[in-house]
Amino acid sequence: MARAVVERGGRRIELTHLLWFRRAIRGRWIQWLVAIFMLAGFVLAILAGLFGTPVGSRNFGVIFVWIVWWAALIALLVPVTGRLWCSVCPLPLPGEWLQRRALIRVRPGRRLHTLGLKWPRTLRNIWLQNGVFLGVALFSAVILTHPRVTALVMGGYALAAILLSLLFERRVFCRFVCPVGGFIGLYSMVAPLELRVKNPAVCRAHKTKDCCTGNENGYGCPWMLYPGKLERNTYCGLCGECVRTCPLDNVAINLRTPGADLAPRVGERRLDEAYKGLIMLTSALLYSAVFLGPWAGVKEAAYNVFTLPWLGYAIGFLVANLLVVPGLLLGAVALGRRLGRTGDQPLRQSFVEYAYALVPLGLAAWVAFSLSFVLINLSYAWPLLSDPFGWGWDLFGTATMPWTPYFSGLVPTLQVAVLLAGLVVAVNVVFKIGSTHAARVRAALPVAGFCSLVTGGFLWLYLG
Amino acid sequence: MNGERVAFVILCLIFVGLPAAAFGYQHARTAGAGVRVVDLEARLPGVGGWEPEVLRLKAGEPVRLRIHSPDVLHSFAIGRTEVGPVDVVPGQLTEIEFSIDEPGTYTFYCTRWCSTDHWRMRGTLEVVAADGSIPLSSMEPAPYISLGIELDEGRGQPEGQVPAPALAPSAARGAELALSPPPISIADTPAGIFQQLRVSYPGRSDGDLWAVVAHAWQQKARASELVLGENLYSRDCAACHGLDGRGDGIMARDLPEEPRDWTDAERLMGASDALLHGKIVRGGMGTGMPGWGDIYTDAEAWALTDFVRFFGFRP
Repeated sequence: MARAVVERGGRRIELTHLLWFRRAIRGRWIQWLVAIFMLAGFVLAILAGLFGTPVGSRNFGVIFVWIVWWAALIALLVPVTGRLWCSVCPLPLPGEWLQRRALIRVRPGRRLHTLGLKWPRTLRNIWLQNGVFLGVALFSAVILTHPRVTALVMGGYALAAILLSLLFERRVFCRFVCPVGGFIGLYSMVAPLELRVKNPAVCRAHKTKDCCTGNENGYGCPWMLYPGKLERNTYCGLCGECVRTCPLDNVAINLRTPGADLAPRVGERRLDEAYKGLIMLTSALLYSAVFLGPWAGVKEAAYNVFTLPWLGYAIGFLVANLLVVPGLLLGAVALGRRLGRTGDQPLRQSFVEYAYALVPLGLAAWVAFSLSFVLINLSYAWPLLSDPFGWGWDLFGTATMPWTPYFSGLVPTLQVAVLLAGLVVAVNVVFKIGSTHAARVRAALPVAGFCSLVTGGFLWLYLG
Repeated sequence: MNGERVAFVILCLIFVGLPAAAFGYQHARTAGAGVRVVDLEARLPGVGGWEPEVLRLKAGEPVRLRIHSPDVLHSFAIGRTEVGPVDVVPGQLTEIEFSIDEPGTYTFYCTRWCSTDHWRMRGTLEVVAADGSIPLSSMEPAPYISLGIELDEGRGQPEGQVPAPALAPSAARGAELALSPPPISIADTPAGIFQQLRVSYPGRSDGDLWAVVAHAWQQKARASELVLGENLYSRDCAACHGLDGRGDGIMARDLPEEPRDWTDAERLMGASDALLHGKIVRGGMGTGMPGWGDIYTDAEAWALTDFVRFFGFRP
């Protein structure tokens, strides 16, 4: 039976208390096989992208990466399981195998085969992930529709992951570079799944710290974390190595209250993460405007990369992400401080704290944005099971299945429901943050208004 | 076999077996089908047009073209053949299978008005003979060349002091009059025939004589040719010249020179069929009017000539 405990941040149910679950996590094969299955899909997507038809809707690379995988990730895996995807992501596998000189077995006492360089201190944050995400986002109109570009981008990620594995310690790519990992980490704070130690005092008293160094049961944390101090989901890749290596059975995977990491004063609050929340929200808004809005000229500019109109689009995209929307939030926070007379902490700190309220709203925005194209285009996937390269195959008899939009009439309703749910949670977080100050619901009102304004923008774009 | 070896075998299946199976299956499939598969991309002419722009086939070789468009609706056809047109819808794969027996150089082109530069969207299809050669075109020179007609030197004006008809002359009225016009050649202009009729029938009104001219041209053109000409005009000409031939098509405003107004009787009655045909097959130098000689068969070019002529006449 799963064990339920009440801790700070709400009630938790320990899944690793279930025998079958614990065995599944501690054994290496199930996770490895799922990851290998993903790797096979990854290889097929790159092959199809490079050698298959250039028609995006007929190419496995485009449809299975940007429709199937993306839908599963943003609408299901991240909101429900947090970073579980990272535990089966194929990108870091080759590099990790090269580091370990092993595919699945554990080689205790052996050092990793890497130059072992330390990742620069100035980059030990997610600013680089923010930058890579923005850089890729500028080209997303092309990446998302051209199989060859999709393949090159994915191949580039894979090569970068391998290269960094050979140069640096452990999963530097996942922790500090991967743009997908950056936002998965941020949004995993919403998820009702977590990995935590059962009793931090046990960890403090334990001398050998097997979770960091590894032992005969598993490797030291590839994410360079000390589980004993884990307070948030953000950087834990749920790989399960610490569950395997802990000799004191002090690491658990729990079900918990969704969004528990967003409660005030849970873990540190950082400007790079605050900006990640802003960038994700702004990007979702801009994507909705560019790809779903009525401005054909902007859409055309986004597609015609390296042209003058695209340059204007790119500058606008960056300015909106880095200056305009953060500036609006900053203004709302400053106004709140005046209204609530809460000048007891620096403006920057207030800005960073309130930015975390954008996490549930941003996640809802991405789910709503994804609904607009995922349900409409999901049926493109069935023919590709039989004909992944678009070469006219019919392996399973599904090649001629017609394009059929699913629940297209329901999409606006679902979008409204998701966005309003995100707004409710975001406003709830805003007022919780406000209530930690001395005055002060009034201090939170402008930020709540900011969240409402952004939600209104999305609703206007979707229902317009 | 220990776990590490099993894992290694699985990995080999993914990195070696998967590509080998995919490419092997495709090779076996296409080799067995006896059809060469060629991918062709149709883009707006301003951003690339056809890619590749030149296709090379062997004479008689079956080929399956797989065409896609990343931007707007295009269409594919090969000039002077029966191949196409087929629409190329964005986001869909259009397949067309054909073979061409006659070696030579052909033009493939878009038949949908995809942009103002639509007419530039042409590619070259080289059909190679068994000995590896590509014969030069066996097309006869257009009649305007052998007749010495200068297409760009003010031709198409009424001859002498011939008064152009105020209304488009009625061929039916001309038939009722039962007069005998002189035989018409492709070098004759309606104005010239009108002048001859004036000499032959001095007592007749100008309106009657123009009606006879209209009837004479109607007798020359077969109804089926006029239908073919109308279809070609709608597809290839109307976007600039307008559906009614007034030169006011939706693409006209972006052209370097205003398109010809075919309802302008003064110009049309002074133009011979050979001149109209020449303009069609050669195009208008510097005007934005493309040449259609590489695309239309002789029958198509003459059918379009006859159809254009009837912007000046009524049935």
